[in-house]
Formats: sequence, C-alpha cells, structure tokens
Amino acid sequence: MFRDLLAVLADGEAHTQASLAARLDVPPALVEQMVAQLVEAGYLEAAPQCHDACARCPMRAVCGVERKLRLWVLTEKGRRAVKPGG
Amino acid sequence: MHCAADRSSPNPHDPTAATVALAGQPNVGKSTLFNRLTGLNQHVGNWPGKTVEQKSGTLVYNGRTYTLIDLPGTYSLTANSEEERIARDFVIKARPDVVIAVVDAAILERSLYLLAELLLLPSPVILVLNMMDVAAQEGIQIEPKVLEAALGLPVVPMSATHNRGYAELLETLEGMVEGRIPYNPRCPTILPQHEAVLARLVDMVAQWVPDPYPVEWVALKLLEGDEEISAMMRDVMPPEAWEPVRDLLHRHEDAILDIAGARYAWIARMIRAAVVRPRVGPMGLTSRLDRVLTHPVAGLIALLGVLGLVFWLTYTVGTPIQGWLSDLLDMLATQVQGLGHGWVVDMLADGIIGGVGMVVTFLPILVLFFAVLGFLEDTGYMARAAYVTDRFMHLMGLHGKSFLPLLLGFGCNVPAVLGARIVESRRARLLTILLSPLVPCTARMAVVSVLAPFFFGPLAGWIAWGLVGLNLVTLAVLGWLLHRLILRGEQAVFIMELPLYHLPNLRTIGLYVWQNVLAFLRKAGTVILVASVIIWGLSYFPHGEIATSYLAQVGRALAPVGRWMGLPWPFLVALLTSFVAKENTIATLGILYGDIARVLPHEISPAAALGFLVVQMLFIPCVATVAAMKQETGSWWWTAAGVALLLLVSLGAGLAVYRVALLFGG
Repeated sequence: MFRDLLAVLADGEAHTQASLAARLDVPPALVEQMVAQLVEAGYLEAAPQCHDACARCPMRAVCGVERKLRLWVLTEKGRRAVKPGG
Repeated sequence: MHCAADRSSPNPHDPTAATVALAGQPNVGKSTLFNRLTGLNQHVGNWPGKTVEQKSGTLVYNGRTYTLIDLPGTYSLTANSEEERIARDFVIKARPDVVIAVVDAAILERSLYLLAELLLLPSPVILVLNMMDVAAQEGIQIEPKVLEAALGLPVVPMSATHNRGYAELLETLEGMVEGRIPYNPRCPTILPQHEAVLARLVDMVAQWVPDPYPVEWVALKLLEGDEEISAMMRDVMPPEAWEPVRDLLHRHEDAILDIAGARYAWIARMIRAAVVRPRVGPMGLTSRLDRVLTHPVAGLIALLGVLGLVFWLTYTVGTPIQGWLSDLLDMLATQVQGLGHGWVVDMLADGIIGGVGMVVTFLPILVLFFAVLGFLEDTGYMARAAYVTDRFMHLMGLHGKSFLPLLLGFGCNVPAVLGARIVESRRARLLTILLSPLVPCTARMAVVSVLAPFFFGPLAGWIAWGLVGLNLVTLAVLGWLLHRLILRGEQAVFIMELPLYHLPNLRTIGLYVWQNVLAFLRKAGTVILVASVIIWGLSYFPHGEIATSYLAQVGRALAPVGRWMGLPWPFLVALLTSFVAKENTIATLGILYGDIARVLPHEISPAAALGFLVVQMLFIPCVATVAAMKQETGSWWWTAAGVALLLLVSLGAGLAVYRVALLFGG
C-alpha cells in the first residue's frame, strides 16, 4: 500500500488526501494515517507552516496575512523510494 | 506475516483465573468498558517505573476470576511513545490469556492498525466493536459476522455506554479462555522477497532473542526499523553476530514500506468487506464539492469564477460607498482651505486629506474585499484555491515548497520572499524570490480595486479579474522561461490536507477583516502619511504650484516614457511613489489631481488607463519587498536583476496592452 501511495506521488503533482484515497480506493482516514506513518519513518516531512515566514517578516505589524495550511513533502529518502526501482 | 497467538498454555497455574488486557486507542470507550466490567474492584497505580497510570481490576464470571489490565490508549505498537512501549511490553511479558481490542465502530479504519499489530503478539485477541450506536446514527453499516469471518477472530458488537453487548462479551471471553471458540486470525501478509529476508533474520537472531520475546516478532520489528528492538538486540548480541544483521537490515531499509504497507492493504480489505459508508453527510458533501472544485480544469474555471465574484461584489457594494466618502472628504478639504492661506493649510487640505484621506476612503472597499476573502478562507475554499493554483504552477515546474511562499505573496510579497527560505535548492529559491513580486498582493489589488471603477465603470470587475489573471499568466510564463534557464529537472511532490467544508463563522471572518483593516490603517498612518507629505511638498515647492514644482521637473523628465503609453507625467510619478508603498499610487494621484473619481477618466483614454493598471500590477515591488530580496539573495546583483526584470516586464506589458487596446478603438 505504501509503494502504491509512493507510486502515485511519483507523478510529481500536488495531491490531496481525498484524491489519494480515491486513487488507492481506501478511506481518506487511512491515507491520513499512512501519511503520519511515512512522516514517522522519514519518507515524508511536514513542510514549514506558512506563518513561519510571517514570524520573521519586518512588515508583520502592518500585515494581516496568516494562512494555515498543512502540507507534506517528500524527503530525500522518500524521493529515493519513489524513483522506479529505488 | 504470521499471527503469533499461542494458545497452548492459557494460564496453566490456575484454571479458575485468567488475565485479560484491554487495548485500544484513546476515546474509543475503553475506560467505560473497563469500569463497567470491574465495577468497584479497581486498583489505580502507575506502571512500574513509569509515570503512566495503570488501572487494573477484577471480575468474576461463572466461577472464574478475571484480572483486567487497562493498557494505555495507543494508536499502534511501534515504540514511538512510552504508552506504546508499555502496552506491547505488557502483552509480551505478562502474556495475558486474552487481549480485548476495543475499537470505535464509527471510525473502524482508524483502529485496525493497532489490531494488526496486536495479532503479531502471543496472546489471542477478541475484537470489540464499540459505539455501534454512533456508527448506526451516522448511517455506517458494519457486518460483525462478515468482519469475524474476514479476520478469523471473534468480533463482539457493543455499545458500552448503553449497556449493550456485555453478556456476549463475557461469553466470548470465557469461550476464548477455555479454548472453545475457534481462533484462526488472518494477518497481513508480506511480500515473498521479504519472507526470505525475514527467515534469514530469524535464523541470525534466534539464539540471542531474550525470553519471553517471540523470535519472529523481534525479527519483524528489526526489519521494520523499530529503534527499541534494534537497540535491545544490539546490546544482547556480540558485535560479530550483530554486524551481518545490521548489514542485512541496511540493505532492506525500505522494508517498512512493504511491511506496514501490507497492514494498510489488509485494513482496506477488511473495511471494504464489512463496512458500508453512507453516500451523504458532511464527508459526502465535501467530496462531491471537491469533485468539481479540485478538478484540474473545472477547478480552475471555478476559481476564476469565484475571483470574479469577489471583485463584482466588492465593486457593486463598495464603490458607491467610496463615492460618498470621497464627497465628504471634498467638503472637508474645502472647509480646511477656508481656514486661511499658506502652505500649512494647503498641506492639510491637499497633502494629508487629499493623499492619506483619499486612501482611507477606500476602507469600505477593502472591508468588503477582506470579508469575502475571509468568508472563502473560513468555509475551507481557500485551501482548494491553493491546490488548484498549484496545478497551474506545475506547468512551469514550480511546485512543492516554492508554492508555499508564492501563496503567501497574495497577502504581501515580503513574507513570500522571506518564505522562499524553506526551499532547499538555491536555484529554486532564487526563482521563487524573483517571481514572488508577480503575485498580486492585497495592496496592489486594493489599488486596482480603487482605480478600475473610475475608468471602466461597470466593467471594472472584469478588468480587475483580467489583471489578476495577467499577473498569474506572466508569473507562469516568466517562471517557465526562467525554469528552463536556471533551474532544470527539479521536482518535489507533496500532499495537502484539505479541511472539510463548513459553515463560516461570523466571528472568524470579522477577526480576519479587522486584522487586515487594522494593518491597512497602520500603513495609512505611517508610510502613506509620510509619503503623502513628501509628495505634496515636492508638488508645492518652490513656487506653490504644481506646474513649476520639483515634482513636475522630475515628471517632465519622464514624460517621453509616458507619451509611448498615452500617460501624462503625474501617472508616472504616481507609479514611482508606489515604490514606497503600493497604495501611494492613489495618494499621489489624489494630491496631484484632487477628486480623482471625477478627474481621472477625462485625463487619459481607457486604453492608456488599461496600460497603466497593467504596469501598476506588474511594476517593481515596494521597497520592503526589494529589501527582503536583497536580504534573502544576499546579492545586490540578483536584487537589481530582479528589479530590472520586473521594470522591463511591466513597462513592456503595459505598452503592449495600450497599443493593442488602441487597435480595438480604446
């Protein structure tokens, strides 16, 4: 199942948990758990949150932007595993 | 993979006693079940040497005393937390006669991973499907008999809080302890190549595995990369025996993908066999909406539609209010001018009221704009917009981490540039920084929101919509070109969490509007105020009139550029002052022309106005963004190159749009 998930990710596009669930024909909650476990095993990592950038911004006082979006990206280990035959 | 349950010695010491462990995730009703089963016969303490609470109790049924141990709530048994280590150590070392795995029937798919891991341990397992009533309320149908057949172990449907299923559970428990109930669990299987590796590992470690750990389980955990078990075996094995094991594990470090992956495949099979989910409900609504809103083509069209709606709403409601405020401001300026003569009065009337005041009259438009954006954000749509935009950015090879900072750019370009730091590759980071200013920030959108209706009346919504689109297309084209030039073959994939759609909360939207408006007012009171006074000063001195002012002298020097684009010099000066803060364009035009709503449409042609707005949207970013670009690239050269590129692109695009618009008779 993890290999199938990584194979879908190998297309290089953005995915949502729902679209991955549909592609793998599993409940979305299962994708959520798999993502968490892939993070634990070092194949995926949570991307820094958007507002991390805002924390350093000198314009912070005059800016109302703060968007919360959870995002995961492949790690080096994940990229190796995604490669065909890798 | 083999299920390891060993029923050969169910508590040989005493046939009238049995030990039972209760396992399960937090919040599945495990404590309720435990309390109901044990009543007052409970003992609460700590697990030996740990700070985690241990609850145990007894229950007598048909003459047998059952000792119940409530294991800590865990999601798996992978040694990630102390609770997980306690739970698995207990089952391995104390070998309870039965483990009762309690799961929430309404979210069965979340609970089965723990079951898959429990089945690897030596004790036989009973599955309790708790909260059947909740599942039924949510329209989820579960077939306990089908699940029982598929899993090969006893399944007891229950509703612990409603007192349902206890008799069946106790009967099953007794049957299991006495060995009357068949128990042939079907565990997740692993790939044949890993079977061979596992067999080799078993051979290599068998003589070293300390009692009472099951050898095969230890071998499997080693293959999974379990840190605690790896450390344990490294300690007990002599180095010459451990070395080859370590090498073997290193060669198969991705085995976890297959081992844990097989468990998920197993869970998916069980769910497909025994669970029927309703097609409607909040989940159903979200997936139905997402089928359209996150579709590669339909989603993009929907996004354009939503964006159009945002501008349309903003203009239809906001522009008339702005008009009234502007009239009010005129009256105020006239009053002030009536107070006397001299540069102080002129500065107040023309510089401050005409500049900052003019900017502030746009507050209603901004309030609306942010209210609509806040609404979209709070319903969960913005996450979809981001997802759809990413597909678009994919075309130019810019995705993954670059996308995050660019997304931030819609608020303000400065955090977009700073956010580029999260992109590891230097080239991708540079590209992200160079492209960030092309993301239309709220300040630029505000300027367009204000100016477009003066020139284009009812068409303003379409024009603003087109301008935002032009920025994104320019970003994509430029990104694609730069990608070919400086950044090749990099790619990153990512997964995004899309929240469920939900009804927006007025308070949240209010807060969003308030924060943004406050930010805008702070800017008006500082940067824009100072700039307005300076612009006014330059337009007033040395002779007290614009035509002979310092600003006019600068403007006239720029006039040739303006002539190509059909723009008089004040427009070019307005563009220049936007370098300090984008809203200064409005303030400057306000100072130089007075009542811009009435005057501007007569000053330039619609074609020139369109060209001007194009330049305004693509122009070099504000000074704060440029400073951030310098800081992040660490190079004046790249900062200058970025600014030059944007200058070239904006003037080029503005000129092209002006000329084309002229052809169409603008």
